[in-house]
Amino acid sequence: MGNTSEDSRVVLLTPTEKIIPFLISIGAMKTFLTSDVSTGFLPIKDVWEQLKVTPLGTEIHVIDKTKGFIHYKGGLSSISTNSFFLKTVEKDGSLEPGWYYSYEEGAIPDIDVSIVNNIEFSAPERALVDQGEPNLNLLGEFYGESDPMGVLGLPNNLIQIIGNKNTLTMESYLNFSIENVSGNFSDILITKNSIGRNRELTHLTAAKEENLKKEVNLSIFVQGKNTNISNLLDWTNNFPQIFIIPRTSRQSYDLVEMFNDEYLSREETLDFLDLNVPKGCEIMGYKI
Amino acid sequence: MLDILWEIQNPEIIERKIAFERFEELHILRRELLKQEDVVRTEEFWDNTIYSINSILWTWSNVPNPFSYQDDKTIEDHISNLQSQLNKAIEYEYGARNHLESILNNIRVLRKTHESPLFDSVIEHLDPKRKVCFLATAKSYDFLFNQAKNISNKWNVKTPNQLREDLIYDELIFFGQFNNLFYGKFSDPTLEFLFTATKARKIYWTHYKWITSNWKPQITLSGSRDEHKPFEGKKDIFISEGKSSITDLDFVPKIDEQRFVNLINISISKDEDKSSSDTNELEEAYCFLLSEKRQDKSLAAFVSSDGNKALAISDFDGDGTLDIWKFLPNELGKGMYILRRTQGAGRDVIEVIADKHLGTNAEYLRSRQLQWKRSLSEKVNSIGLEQSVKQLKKMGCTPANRANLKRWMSSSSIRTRKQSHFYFLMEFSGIKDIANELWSDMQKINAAHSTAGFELDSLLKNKIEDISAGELFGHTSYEFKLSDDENLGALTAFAIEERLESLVEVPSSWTHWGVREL
Repeated sequence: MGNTSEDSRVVLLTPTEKIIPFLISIGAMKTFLTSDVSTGFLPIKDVWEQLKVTPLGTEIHVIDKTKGFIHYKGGLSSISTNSFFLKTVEKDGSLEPGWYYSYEEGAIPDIDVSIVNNIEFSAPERALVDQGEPNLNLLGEFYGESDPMGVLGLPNNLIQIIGNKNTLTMESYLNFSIENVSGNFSDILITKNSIGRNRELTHLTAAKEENLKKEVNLSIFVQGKNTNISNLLDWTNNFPQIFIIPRTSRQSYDLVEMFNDEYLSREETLDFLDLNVPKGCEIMGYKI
Repeated sequence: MLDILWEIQNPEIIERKIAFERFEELHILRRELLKQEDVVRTEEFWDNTIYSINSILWTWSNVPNPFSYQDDKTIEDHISNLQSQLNKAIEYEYGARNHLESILNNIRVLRKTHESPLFDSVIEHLDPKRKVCFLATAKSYDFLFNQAKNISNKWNVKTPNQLREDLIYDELIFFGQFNNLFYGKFSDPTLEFLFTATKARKIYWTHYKWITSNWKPQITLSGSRDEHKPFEGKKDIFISEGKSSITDLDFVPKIDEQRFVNLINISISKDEDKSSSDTNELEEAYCFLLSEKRQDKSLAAFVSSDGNKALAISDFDGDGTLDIWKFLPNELGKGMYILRRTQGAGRDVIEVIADKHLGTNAEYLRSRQLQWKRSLSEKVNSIGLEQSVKQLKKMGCTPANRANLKRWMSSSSIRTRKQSHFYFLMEFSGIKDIANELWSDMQKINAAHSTAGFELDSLLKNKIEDISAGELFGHTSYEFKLSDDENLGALTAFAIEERLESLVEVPSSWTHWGVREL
């Protein structure tokens, strides 16, 4: 999107606020899949050399296909010339899953590994179990061009959508069908409880400053009914922010005025020349 | 549904210019009247007269209702006013009296006409099988609703606010001039979404052909490119011009604000004659002129400017039922209904409910509340207000000032915000030895008031939120009892007609309940 960078703020004036934050999040997720946020899931033989130089404690995801489809997530606790272990639980002496790998001996486990760059894994006190299965068909439909499984290898709280939490949650669970595949935005963006309580790539939250996550790579603020995002205008975490203002909102006049003032007082603006903007959707941006 | 919503962001706008000679003639007569030498708006007589003429013409120019439509009482009020003004003009032999008489006669003739030119001319082109939405104002809602339901069950009537929801239609019908929606600093500018985030593939704009109207979107992002804006950033999208046309802004009825400020001051003087100065403490307030009139007098509601919110009723969320929301007074405007306690208004309903929660202690605790106020008032009366403020500040009661001290002496306040300030106040009043007990008693009253606040909110919601919005629209007021089981008095929702631009000083009792005749 144009010359968007970490301190960018993009403002959208739209006919409705429905669905838009989810569509933007999917686009962002595709970018994260091909970025250096993580390596994405790669067969062990392709990622082994990189794994060997990965600092201990780094967040690692393993999909073990030897006994079906088991997703492990943990910190790299040790690595030798032919094996590695993950610390998945805080408690000392707890069982650590590990895999033996030797290319020369032909001992190549059927696992895919994703290394989350620059994120240290904070092990929970108790073992965490994902209750649900990822909707692989739907993930394939949306992330087929990059790495559908890679979504599972991304860290928690990558994106946050801020607005009327009840409405956002309800919309995230609305089922739809596409090319004979059905599912919902919660499945695509891995919101809380789509796979498990502890897997939450996209955080949906109310418009209160104390609820916002500092670690996210993208924040999308949605002006909805009974919410007021103008209170959050001063919040920043040095990552891009998107503000969605539906024209139907009673706050649209005040919000647009506020953002216009900001736009005019900033030195660097963003251009969106390469963007296909839908009818009735105004877009502007500036660097904070 | 969302696909359609995005798809229709470039609606087809069809303008229908309606000719209706008898009404156009009235506009010409008005223009002739204004050309007369003695007709100047700075004179109260002509200001009052022209306001009534403009109000009638403006209403008729913007509603699809027949001219004879009886539900609009304000038209009758203005006709009565014009008759009274004509009598004066004849008595004092004003030069323009004949012009005024012609206008009044024409209005009376039109008032008997059952025709509804705007509605009739558009209806014959609409398909009953298509999903049509008529955009209604409070004045046109009932008429349009009754007409639409008789013709097709696919036809809907919605107020602008109801269209904030994601509703989709084949055709949207808008009657009258754009300034009827957007005129004035207190109207809601966000209503422009009706055209910039449209809900229909086709918008029929139906208006009288001799009235020029133009408008352009105001809510637009700086830095956004013109091709991304609705109507591709063109200026003055809706321009309608005709030969010898007049612009709609020429006859938007505007009130003479100073006249109402004078009327308020006269009313305050009358009140001062009747009651003691203690209860007439003045307070800055917003003044809302109401659509309802009482015996030819305007009604006004006052809301304190101290930052408290006022209750208003309308279909704010657009779900077809009434909502009761709180607004800062500067957010209240035309089209909303302000809620006022109108029966049993001798005492704040919160106090009545709070006393119910205090039970048998209520009488004792209220006497304690009265006790410290009486002691404080005696002390203040003995040394004077200014001296009292100085002494209290010196003692450490930092919030002491004239206004706060008056408030603390009034019957409605319970305690100071901070305990230490309350102690200083009691020490100053000579009742330091019972300050602890009094604070504890006032805490109980305060807690009961908080509970009462929640209960009142719940009572109001129960009474209001299931009522169809259609029951309110088109009426100048709506009265209801707060409780069927208890005698908590009655409340009335009054349609707001205007808000005075300047703040006015009025007795604080005016800002709590009831409405005033001006």
